[in-house]
Amino acid sequence: MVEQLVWAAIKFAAVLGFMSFNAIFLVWLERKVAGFIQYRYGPMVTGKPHGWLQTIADAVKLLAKEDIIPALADRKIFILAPLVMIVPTFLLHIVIPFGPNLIVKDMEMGVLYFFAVSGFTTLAVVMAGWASNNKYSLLGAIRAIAQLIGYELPLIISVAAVVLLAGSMSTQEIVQSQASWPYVILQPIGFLVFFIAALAELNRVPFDLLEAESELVAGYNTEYSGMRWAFFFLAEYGNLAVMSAMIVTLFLGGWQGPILPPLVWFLLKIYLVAFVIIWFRWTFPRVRPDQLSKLGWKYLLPASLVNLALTSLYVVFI
Amino acid sequence: MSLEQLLFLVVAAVIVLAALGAVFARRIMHAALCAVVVFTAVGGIYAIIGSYFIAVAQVLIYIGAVATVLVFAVMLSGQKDIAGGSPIRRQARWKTVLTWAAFVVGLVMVFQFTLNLTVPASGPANAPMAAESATSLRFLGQLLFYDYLLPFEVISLLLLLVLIGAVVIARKESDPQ
Repeated sequence: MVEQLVWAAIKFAAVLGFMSFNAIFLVWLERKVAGFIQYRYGPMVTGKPHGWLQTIADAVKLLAKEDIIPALADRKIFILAPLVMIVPTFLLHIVIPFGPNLIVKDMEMGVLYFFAVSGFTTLAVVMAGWASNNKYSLLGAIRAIAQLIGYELPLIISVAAVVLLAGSMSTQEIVQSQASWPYVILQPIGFLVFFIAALAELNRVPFDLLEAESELVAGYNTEYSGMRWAFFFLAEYGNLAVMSAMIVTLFLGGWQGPILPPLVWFLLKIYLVAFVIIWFRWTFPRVRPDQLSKLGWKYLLPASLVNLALTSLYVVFI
Repeated sequence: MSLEQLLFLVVAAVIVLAALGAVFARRIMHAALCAVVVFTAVGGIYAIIGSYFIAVAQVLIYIGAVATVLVFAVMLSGQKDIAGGSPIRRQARWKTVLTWAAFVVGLVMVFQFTLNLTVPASGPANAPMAAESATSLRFLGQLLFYDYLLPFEVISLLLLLVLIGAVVIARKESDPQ
């Protein structure tokens, strides 16, 4: 009993540490990549050792900032929304396989669990947008529903094809079944659909309509400040890391790789995927809402269904 | 009292309180969010009794789809109840309570009836129902896609019909298409 509790505490601390590290590291990476791509001089100069100090100063500022709740906001929901956002992000880390034995809990239906829990994100965005009692926040929340529901279907259907090939929904078994070939080679359509839909689920450019700065100020989190805003921020970068980890697990062979230890391979792949996602942000323009719906329902969903049908035929007959 | 029983009592209390909240909340949004708490906590009950697949499916469907659409519908229903003022009148609340009480009694009777029907189960796959295999994913899949394939397909067909029906009803009359 005591041993179990100690292990639970260690795992809890490890996930919390990984999440906080990611928030700081990925923000730094985002700034540096933006700096290189767009000739922004700021990230190259401030915070001397490669801009590290700037991120830490930002984190301290956020913790110390005044916490403002608008007078006409729905207080209870306003306070609850950041928690509904960050707790599922934390829970998502449970099924990520960092190495052959390095996983918090290898569930039989790990992949299903992952997508079930990530459903809370939509709810949190809607709660935040509604409770703020601000038109920009509300518009952001309405867009969130259209976007997140529309892209969740192709996302899950393209995963179903991988599950069919692997014959299991456990993340660890999916990684093991990619010993010879990673699924990105066997499932090119599925990988593309999953990657695009994942960008939309993460609200990353080119699908960041929820918080389109030029139209909606900051979308659903316009009225948030200080610590509560930091929660949204932490969850956003936590989700970026955890979704990259899922892309690596499902399509890029997880922790498998020659010479280097599994954990190193896994982290390398995660940050490679995260780098590509950040790279997209600074090179692509934002899509319009009608383009967003058209892409999701008319192209991605049929593509993922065709992919699933082809994979089923392959599994049954070959 | 074992740990499971204690957990069950806590989660059950949460369900009852949230359900009451959903009925009595003065703002529709609060009522909807209380319903979301009920959905989530019911998933917790499934997890406590060890049927993890049902728990995950409950969260996937009720949070990912039902709760989102519910909240969306409330958001589209207008801003009047944000600034205070109750849309539900006092005497109407008593009607709500009576209706729900009748509904709950009916539900309990239905449960009792179906329990009497199915407890001496002689289903085709009753033999391998060992404690751990009963909750395993493979076993559930076998049940759904071999033993109960027809009911499963009929249900999915019903859902498809509902989907098409909703589209037909929601489409505007003046739509030239």
